[in-house]
Amino acid sequence: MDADRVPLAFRAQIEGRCQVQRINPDLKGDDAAHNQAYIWVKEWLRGALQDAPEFPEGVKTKEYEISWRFVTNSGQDDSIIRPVISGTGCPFYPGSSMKGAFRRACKSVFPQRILQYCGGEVVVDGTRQTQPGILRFHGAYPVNHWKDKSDLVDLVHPQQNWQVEEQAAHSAFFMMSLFQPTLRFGISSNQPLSETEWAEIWQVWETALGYGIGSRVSAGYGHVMDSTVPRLLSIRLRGEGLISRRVNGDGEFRPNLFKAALRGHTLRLLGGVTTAEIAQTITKRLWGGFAGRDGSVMGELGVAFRCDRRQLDEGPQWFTLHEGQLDILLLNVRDEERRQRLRTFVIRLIKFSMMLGGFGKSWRRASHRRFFSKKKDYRRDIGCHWEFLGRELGLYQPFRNLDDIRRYFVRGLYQSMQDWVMQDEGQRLDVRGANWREAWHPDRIQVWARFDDDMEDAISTALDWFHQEQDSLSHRSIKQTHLTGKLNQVGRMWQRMYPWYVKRDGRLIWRGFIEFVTIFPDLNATGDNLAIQQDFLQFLDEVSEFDRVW
Amino acid sequence: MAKPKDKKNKNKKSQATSTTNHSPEVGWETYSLDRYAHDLVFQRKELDNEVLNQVHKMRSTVAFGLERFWGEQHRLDGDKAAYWRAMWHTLATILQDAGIALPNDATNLWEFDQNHRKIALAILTQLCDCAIWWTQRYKS
Repeated sequence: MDADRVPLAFRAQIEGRCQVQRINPDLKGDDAAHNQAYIWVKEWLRGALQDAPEFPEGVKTKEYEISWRFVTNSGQDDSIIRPVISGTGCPFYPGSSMKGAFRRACKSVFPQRILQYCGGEVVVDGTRQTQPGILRFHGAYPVNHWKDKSDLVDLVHPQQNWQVEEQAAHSAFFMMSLFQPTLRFGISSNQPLSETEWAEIWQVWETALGYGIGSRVSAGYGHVMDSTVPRLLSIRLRGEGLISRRVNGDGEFRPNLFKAALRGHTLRLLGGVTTAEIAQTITKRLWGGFAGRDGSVMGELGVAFRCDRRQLDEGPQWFTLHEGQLDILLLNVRDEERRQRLRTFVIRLIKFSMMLGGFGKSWRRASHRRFFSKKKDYRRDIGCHWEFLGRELGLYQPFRNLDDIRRYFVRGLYQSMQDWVMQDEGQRLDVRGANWREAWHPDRIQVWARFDDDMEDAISTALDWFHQEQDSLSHRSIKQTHLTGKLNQVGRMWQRMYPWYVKRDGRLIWRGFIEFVTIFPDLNATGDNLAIQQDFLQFLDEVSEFDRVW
Repeated sequence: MAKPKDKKNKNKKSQATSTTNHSPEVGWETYSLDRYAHDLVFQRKELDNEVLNQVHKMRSTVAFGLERFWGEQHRLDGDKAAYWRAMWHTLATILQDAGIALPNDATNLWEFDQNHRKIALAILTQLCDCAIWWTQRYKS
């Protein structure tokens, strides 16, 4: 038998034989679909039946549609995350996982029925006995055409080290997850139950679904379309930006971009007021994460994103989302007071993300499509632009003048982060902050702002500096310097067009945009870099329309 | 264990001329799978759960064939890798006693005589089951 014709699943998971999770950098463009992950999936599907196995008679079933991706890590292949696969080749959600999720939800919906439904330990005449529950959980199978989809190959890309802390090595990995499956769940009972009680049982299950099922739920995986989960906050948004690419080149709007942004900003902001270690601990408590040998920590907050697909235009490079809803979920918080405080924290974080950051790829720049001075002159799409919708307009921070902005940065952000660390988390502050490139520390950051009252055709001033070669009296080119960043090197500047609102008689009135430029000067810069940096900061101060606000 | 043993003896006879075989031509040969498994587990009983649990993974990997099993000693490192390697060497030793030479690379594992491959897998399955049994005993 020719060893090179053996399917990947049966090969040693070592270099040269089978490394499904590894993205081969030599396979570019159309060849990217020759990565082993795609071959692995082809081999899997060749042997798999399309149709889900039928549940036995008497099993009650219900179907739910997953809003984005869904994965249950089988744990069978140490090196790659892939679904649990049944004997027929069909992926499934195990009954044991279902029972665990049900039991947890039952605790909050009908706590006195856990023993009856799920069983447990009871003490009879002083001895402990195990009592079985009346329900059996049969798990779930996808009943839509999951097999026809080419999008089983998914990407995980842990970027925190790369973006926030330092330019550490970063790499993406493949994993396998189902794209928008419709899952049919089965539950049976060993006693006849009334229709009313079945309805209540499904109500418990819907609560469980609300929290999300499977792995990576806090990043938006495994959430159902219509969920009844406790939400801390729901925010309606519209936005546009670069579409994410799968390795084979297909585009995919990936709702986990919100979690990445919020988690990253949490680290940045906390890193400005306390040590790296404390900032990381708090961030993990809030958003979850890996804790080394102790496995993973389930965070208090999760993110789910929902939109009607008709509200989303996905082009080859660019997406335009006309309306979507970002839900911040409470995953594991019992204490009402903590919930309220988390709400305040998250609102602050979202305001900040909207004001200075953005969401998704290329978030450090405003949308060039919309704000670049010579819209037709550039060949590549860059940037993104997001806006609140409806009632959430209230999340825009109104500013009348520069002093308002200055006050906001000190009181609304910096001091409230200090309070969070000390009062809510009971940790100590550190005046030096974390030693990260993008820690939100007054010594390491400069924010410059300019008001622009053009409502319909606003144009960015700063974007020209990034793209034009020539200097002029009112213009300073920083094209391809260490400030702007290059391919595979994160720049030191963010630039944003933030909708400018003022408050009059308690109402928000749109006045145009505020252009923000955020700079993380290189404190160790030498030679040319130092000269460029000093020169540019001087230009900002003395010549440009921008004023320093932080 | 009884089934593969019959086959083993057949194969042993067919290869008798080319291999060194110290076991008697007739009679009971135990191959001591349970003792080998015990020794493997006993040596590691003080190590952390991460390592102890490897043996369960070994058992589930058997379903994917010899190459997947063989590869784990090269993919992992430290005590985990050592455990897989020890299990592999034990399998090789047992097969050697039965007059079968276990290949030690991917290509030759797939070119391995099909009957011998079946025997190797059957023994490996049994060896892992024994090791799991001992692991449970020493864990509690």
